Amino acid sequence: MTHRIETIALDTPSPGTTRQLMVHRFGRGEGPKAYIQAAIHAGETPALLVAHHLLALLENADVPGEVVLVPFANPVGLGQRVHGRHLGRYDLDSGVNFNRDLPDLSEAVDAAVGEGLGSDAPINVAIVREAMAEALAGLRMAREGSVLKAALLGLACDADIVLDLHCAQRALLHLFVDAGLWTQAAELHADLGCAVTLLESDTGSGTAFDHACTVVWRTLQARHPDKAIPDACLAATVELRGFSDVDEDVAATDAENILRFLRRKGVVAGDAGPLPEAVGEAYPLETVGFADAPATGIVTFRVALGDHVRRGDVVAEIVDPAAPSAAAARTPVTSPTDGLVYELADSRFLWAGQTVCHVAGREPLADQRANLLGD
Amino acid sequence: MTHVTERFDLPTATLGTGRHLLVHRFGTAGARPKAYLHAGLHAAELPGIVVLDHLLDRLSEADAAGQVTGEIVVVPFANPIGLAQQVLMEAQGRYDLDTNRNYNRGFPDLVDGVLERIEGRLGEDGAANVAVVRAAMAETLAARRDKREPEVLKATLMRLSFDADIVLDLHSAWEALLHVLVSDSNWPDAEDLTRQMGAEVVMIDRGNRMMTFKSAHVLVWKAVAAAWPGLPVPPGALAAVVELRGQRDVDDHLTRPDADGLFHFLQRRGLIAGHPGPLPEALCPARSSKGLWRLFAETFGILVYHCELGDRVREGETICHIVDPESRRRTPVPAPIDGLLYARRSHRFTRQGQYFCAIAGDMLHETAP
Repeated sequence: MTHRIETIALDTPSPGTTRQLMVHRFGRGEGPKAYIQAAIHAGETPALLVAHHLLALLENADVPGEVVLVPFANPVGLGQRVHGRHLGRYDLDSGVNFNRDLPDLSEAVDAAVGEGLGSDAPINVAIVREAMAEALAGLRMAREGSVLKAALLGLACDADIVLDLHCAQRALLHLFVDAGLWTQAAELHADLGCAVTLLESDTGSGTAFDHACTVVWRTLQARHPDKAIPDACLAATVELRGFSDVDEDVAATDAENILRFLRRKGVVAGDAGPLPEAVGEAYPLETVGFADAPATGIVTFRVALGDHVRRGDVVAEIVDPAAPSAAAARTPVTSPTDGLVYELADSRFLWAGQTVCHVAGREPLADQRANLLGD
Repeated sequence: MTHVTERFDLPTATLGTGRHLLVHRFGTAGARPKAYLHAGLHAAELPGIVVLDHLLDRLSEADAAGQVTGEIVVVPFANPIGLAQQVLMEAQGRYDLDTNRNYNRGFPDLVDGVLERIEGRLGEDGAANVAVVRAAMAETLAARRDKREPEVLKATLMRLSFDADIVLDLHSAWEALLHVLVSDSNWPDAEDLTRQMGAEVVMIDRGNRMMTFKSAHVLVWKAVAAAWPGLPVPPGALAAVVELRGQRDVDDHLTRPDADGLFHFLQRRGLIAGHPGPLPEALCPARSSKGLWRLFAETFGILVYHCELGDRVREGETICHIVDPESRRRTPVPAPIDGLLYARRSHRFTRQGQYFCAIAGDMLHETAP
């Protein structure tokens, strides 16, 4: 059997506390490497359950390539309970989102090996991956959240496939992937049965994990157009529906779909079968319509996940309990674009400016927000 | 050499995080007297942690010379959970972020469990009675089934300390003079501690049913003595809170003499061989905690003090103003009592209703005749 479990001790932040990452390794290393992590946003429980089901499948699989599975990627965030609530998205100490501000290794890698790259793509890939590992080793991370991010990226940076398992608030299954990777990601999109794939160009949101895995290749390609620099890493953020979508059957199916994709890519042995017909489409992230609450109050929805809406359609109403009359209490929330409702707010009480509804559309939006991934 | 360290792993509350307590032991297990000292139960109260670090040096020297005659247990940082609580770059060591509970409240209340267990078992021999009560405390503690991380921590600290003759809980205020809190059943027994430590305020209380660490040790003995007034039941533990000034007063020129003071106290109490030197004179009389005035802000604003820590204040004297930058009103805060300004929060912006400073009123403790 090729299953090994490693424990990575993270730097101890304070006396009497230790943090460990658990890492499952499968495979013989004779094929592509896949790296899969669950719940870097520590409260996104559907990811944890899918990783559990994937572990069960991998335990009984033949893995000629390599699979690195981190079943819970964020022990720091898992330990954050405040007033009885689990808060897993932001580092309480630094305030930084656990899936932003990952190390961008582009500059260090380019400085180290950029000029030395040549015309042989596989050789370049090996050189760049080694340089990424060295750049990571050279980082002087001190704060706990940063140490965690560097450790995770260190496990992922030489992978051919990176799946960062998340969930959204209330949502259909969707992916985020670098726009230039769509050709590769189309198989993932189809195998997983995604309702939507969002293609990232400039997210304006800081470095998320998937971006940290791809940005080095993008930067080198742009700076050295004469060199053979492929897209060596297919990194995707997989949004496994909403926070409450924690269901054994659904998670088992998601895990089977991930395994089929790994078979298709030769990471895991076995016949993947024909590619399923895609159920959804890909949309540029910059044309997503974010319907934000115009006022503070109770949100009542007029649409459901999966609905198609037109620009100007009322998707929800905000009910303001402080309004002087019942009639004055209601403020409609309208869709900023034509498209598919793929995510809705989970909380039913929203503050002005919070996003009520995400609509996957295709029309350029005049007043699109700068930070497309949100805080 | 008797010095050993033990590591107590606390049950893991969540995935990928471990917690442990480090415990230093000196002397022979079971030797008497036994002392237990810990620091940082309120995890941001750091001076005690440094004091115990210095004390460990001195204990190691004494141990190497074969001078530890009692048993000494030192937990240099008693609250690994609180030490790890950093919120937006600020340490939050007083309350458990998850359960909202003060780390120095809600210690195991052993009173009922002990009273039940010792029914009919006390006699005329005070020392034997102490042993009976301690055995009942051990059983009561062993019967607990704590689950949540801070509750397990508290029970673990109690299991380490419950049978000690001397229990010292090292704290700090935000800004303060060195002061010592002792319960009435341990006074004047604790006078040598307060004098040796150079306490500038000594406050005598009756114990707190909210079960501070000190009270969890004190109230059992008071309850047993009250339930069997005809039998000799001496307090089995001298339990004291030593407030080592303010949270930032960690520097060696303060903390090393404090460690020396603890060392001399342990010598005087017969846990370490050697002469502790003359007992310093008391710097203050013992006050009743009934004279303690904690001041709460009647309005919001910025606190501008007109007196310093250690200043004597007179009733009615304006000790500070609260400046409201919007109305530009300066609200005077009169001293509510004659006494000593001995502790303040270090925050200078106060919300309405917040505690911001404490005055030790000149109400002396009266020892029962």
